[in-house]
Amino acid sequence: MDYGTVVLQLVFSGLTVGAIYALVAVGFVLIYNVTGVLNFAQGEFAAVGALTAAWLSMRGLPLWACVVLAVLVAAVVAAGVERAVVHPARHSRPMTVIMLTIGAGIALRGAALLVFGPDPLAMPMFTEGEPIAVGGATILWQTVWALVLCVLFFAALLLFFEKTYIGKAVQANVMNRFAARLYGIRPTALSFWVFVVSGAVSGLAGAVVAPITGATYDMGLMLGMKGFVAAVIGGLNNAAAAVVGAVLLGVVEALAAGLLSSGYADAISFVLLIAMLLLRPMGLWSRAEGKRV
Amino acid sequence: MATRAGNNLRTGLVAAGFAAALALVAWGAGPYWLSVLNVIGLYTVVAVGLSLLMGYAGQVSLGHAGFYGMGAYVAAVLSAKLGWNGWLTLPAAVLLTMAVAWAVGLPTVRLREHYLAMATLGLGVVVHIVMVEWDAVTGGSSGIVGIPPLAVGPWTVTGERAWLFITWGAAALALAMAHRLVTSPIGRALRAIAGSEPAAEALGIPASRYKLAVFVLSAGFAGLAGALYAFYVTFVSPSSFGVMMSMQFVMMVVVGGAHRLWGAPAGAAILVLLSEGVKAYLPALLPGAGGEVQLVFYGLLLVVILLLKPDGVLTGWAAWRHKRSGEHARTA
Repeated sequence: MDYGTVVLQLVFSGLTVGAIYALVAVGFVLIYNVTGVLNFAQGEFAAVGALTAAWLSMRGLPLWACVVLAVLVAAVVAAGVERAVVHPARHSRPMTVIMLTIGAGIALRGAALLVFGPDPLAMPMFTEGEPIAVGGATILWQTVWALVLCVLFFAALLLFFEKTYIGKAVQANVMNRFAARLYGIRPTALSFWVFVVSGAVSGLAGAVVAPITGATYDMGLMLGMKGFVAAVIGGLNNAAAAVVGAVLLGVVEALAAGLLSSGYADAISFVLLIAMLLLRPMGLWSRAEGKRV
Repeated sequence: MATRAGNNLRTGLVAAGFAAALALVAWGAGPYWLSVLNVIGLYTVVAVGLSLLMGYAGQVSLGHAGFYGMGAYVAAVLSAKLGWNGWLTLPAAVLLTMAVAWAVGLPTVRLREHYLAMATLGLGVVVHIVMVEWDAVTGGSSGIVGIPPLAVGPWTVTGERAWLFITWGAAALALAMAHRLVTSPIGRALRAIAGSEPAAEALGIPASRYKLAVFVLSAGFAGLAGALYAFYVTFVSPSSFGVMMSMQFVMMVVVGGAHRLWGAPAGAAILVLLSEGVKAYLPALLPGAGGEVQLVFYGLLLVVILLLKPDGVLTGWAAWRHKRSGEHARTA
């Protein structure tokens, strides 16, 4: 393979990872904008999704059922975290709530270890078969699945925001919390629903990534942090920008791992984070004065 | 002036009581409890710095394990590999961590909200990866062993009992420095910044310069604690300085209460005792409970503490004291 093909191949694998980061990042952005909480248990929701999907598929359930159940279980876990931890602390300082999500994340990681054990669970690719050849490089079918599911999900999210009452209420709440309350939108109900949606997305991300990396109880920490970095690169206030940030992060990471050093690839993504904060602290696209849209 | 004399007297009494308690513990406690106390002492140094940053400057660092680890590695490399005198590595460790904190903090403290938190989170991860990958200097994931003990003339500082005086000496020093700082005009300026940054700036307080100074100071505390840790355990490896450690440092400050200095040792003690207690007693309550159940309980207990005491475990005590002094005022 010549240099150009290698780069193309790396870009393809970067796109896969980027799509998964995007799903986690959107979960982050949704919760942050509605509740003001940086949810450090976000990666744990993805781990729950990955473990559930892999565990079910090892017991012979059809693939679609594994994915659907993984999404549901992650959504229920997220709802549980919101009701048990975030809701009772809604009048506390933001820092306390963030620490609460970290504590909940530790407990979830322990619970995952208890239920699924310390060994990684394997999951078959969604579609068996020869990879697709494009310009000398190959695309795995799992990459196609990741991208298609990602796009489908964002279409659904867009419909949710534009067409449903709860979606509109979320938008109103982000624009002006006070005015939204005057119109009878209850912030506590929104907080609950936004955790459900965000848990579901992260669960989907976990189910998609499980065939590629396997599923382990402690995979959530790094996935969550990458989603977080992606969200910051895009700008924490904008779900679409977070997606672009995530794809960018995935590609940069894959290129760094392939062309420079695989050990330092993670360091490069966090150096990127620091550089972004220094150069464009409000995200790649937002106007400088916007604190939070 | 009477109040200042009273304060001095009180500070003196606290210090004397502290020293007496330390001597008593060093005389009576077994090696296990001495080691627990030593770890609490070291974490207290980090938590004091962090509580200045969080409670008085209103900023958060999610990367203090990075500074802690940097201090440990500077001490380890200089003493074990280059043969420096151990005591000389301490200022080197402190200065280097402060320099790194200054370079990262300079552009980020001007930004509001969570930006310093994000930048320090990134820094912590980068430092950890460098520890793992920079084999030639850091020894990779196996780390550096054979760090020579600190020595005073012909005597070397070894054993938990001797270390108690170093770790808690450092903790007392950190607490005293922090106490001086928050009761000085600078402390008032910091509280004003935490309250409202625009208002503080309108009063002519250079907010970002103060915030940067506190951040650099807190990094220096972490660097000192890290260097002492390296000499205490005589080896360093990257696993002690991961992201979770940074989170735990912040957790100590939040659990103890960021707005009072005694929150730092209280939080450090609670987190260490919680983790040790879960390890020691859970198997007795739930036969066959392994590490995973301990992890669940540790996480759940942290959640419960934060839900019950969102402003730190010392709030009830402070309110009680406040109420009591209020009653005094009324009866007098």
